[in-house]
Amino acid sequence: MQPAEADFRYLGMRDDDLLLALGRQLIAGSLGAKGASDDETRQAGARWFDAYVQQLRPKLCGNAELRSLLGREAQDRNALFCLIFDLIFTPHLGVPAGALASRILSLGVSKICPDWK
Amino acid sequence: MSQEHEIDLVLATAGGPVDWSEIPASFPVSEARSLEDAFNRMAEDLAPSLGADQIVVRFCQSTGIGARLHPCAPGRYVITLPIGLFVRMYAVGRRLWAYRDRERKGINPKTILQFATSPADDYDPDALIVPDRVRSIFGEYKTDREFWPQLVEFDAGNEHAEKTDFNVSILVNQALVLVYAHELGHLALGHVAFAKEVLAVTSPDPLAEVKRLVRKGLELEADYFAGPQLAGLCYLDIERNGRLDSSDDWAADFFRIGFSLVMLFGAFDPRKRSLGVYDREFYAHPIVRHQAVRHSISAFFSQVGALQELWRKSSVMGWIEAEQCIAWFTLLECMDGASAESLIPIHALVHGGEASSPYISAKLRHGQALFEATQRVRQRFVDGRFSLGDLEEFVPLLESSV
Repeated sequence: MQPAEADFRYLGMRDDDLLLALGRQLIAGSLGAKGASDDETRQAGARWFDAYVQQLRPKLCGNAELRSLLGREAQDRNALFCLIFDLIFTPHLGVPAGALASRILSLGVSKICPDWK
Repeated sequence: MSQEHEIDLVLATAGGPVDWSEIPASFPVSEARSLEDAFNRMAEDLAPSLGADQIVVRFCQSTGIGARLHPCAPGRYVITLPIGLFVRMYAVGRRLWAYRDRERKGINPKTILQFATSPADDYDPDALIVPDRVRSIFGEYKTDREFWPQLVEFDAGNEHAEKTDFNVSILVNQALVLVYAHELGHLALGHVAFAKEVLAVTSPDPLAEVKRLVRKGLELEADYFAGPQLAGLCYLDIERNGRLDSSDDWAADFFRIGFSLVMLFGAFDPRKRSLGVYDREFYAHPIVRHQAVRHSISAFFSQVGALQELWRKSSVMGWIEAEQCIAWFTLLECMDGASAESLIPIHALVHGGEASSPYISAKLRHGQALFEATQRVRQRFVDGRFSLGDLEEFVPLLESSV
């Protein structure tokens, strides 16, 4: 699955805004007794990301093409983004796939797959 | 993804499982765990009648106060309750309840104190500060690290008397039952499917504003659902103890409910934002929500035991007493750093004086009309008779809310 044009806008976002985008979507899918502040929304996004990345790790770290691009994040940023997007995309992801792919990219794939070093 | 993984992911998003061994010793962990067990038993009993295969209720390691109902896999739901809600209610409950004994604190018990901002004022809520001393009760945290030491410091200033904790335990239980029942209400009333199928906003969406208003109506409906659940548990408790004929026992329970409702809804908006600010939000102002819960409890007791009048009198006394305790607490403990530019907003549901009352009344009437319209339209959805045109019923309410 290739990212749409709208997904690329996440590439330039700061980490705080990516977490907000993730958290907003997660919170929108639930009903609560009280509105969530931006900080609470970011926290939800960060916690979800940390937990979900554990589940994604085998898929990301087992991908040879991704590994071959390691260390070339600066040159091949868009190609990496597209590849990560394709790997993580599922129809019922529950968050914007572009935001998730962008955060994985900005966090650094090598941090998620430390054995690659 | 397996169903267990989905539930784990939801719990992780809400803060992860509580590390009970890390909760400061001055808070009764066993009580929180018993409450969680009781909520899970209730959820298990209710699940079939709500069309759910499983409802899991968990306290989470979050220091906030926002509980949530998360649809998980089809037919499976998770209700998350932040442990922050439990400990904050305990700490502030202990502090406020001790202010009932004002004479011993050297305060003339006849002195009435009232803090109020006008609900019509369009002030900048960021100019209102939550003082550091009470940040662990009314403030927010970017990370949890700072929260626990500040809470422990605040709670160290409380009198840890057995008599106080007996009452505070009841207050906290009442507040949490209400929050839990609110979440369960979303499920019982069919809000999950309604929100997903009707209220999802497309872009651009000419109905976006109406949908936002209906979403607010769902929250009011969940509040209205929660009140009688709390009242029913109170009734069962008194019945179990053979005290149904004791008006003193009823009055004491009603007083405490009146008090705990103020504690809970007061904590929802410590910056005391004006009623108008809520026009464009998913939640009604705490004043309106408080009234919805009080109204639903009153309706319950008009049918069960003919206790409506006693409820009204005793719960209003609890309400006023809670406001007094908060006012004295604000004056004596929270005024450091106050200035014309940085006001201290720690009062509860008192907004303005006589001049404000028509404005508040109008908002309460609007809240009631929104609740009733939501109830009608949502029921049509549940009965399979809903069409998008039904949302037009909300258009006049949209115009009158802004």
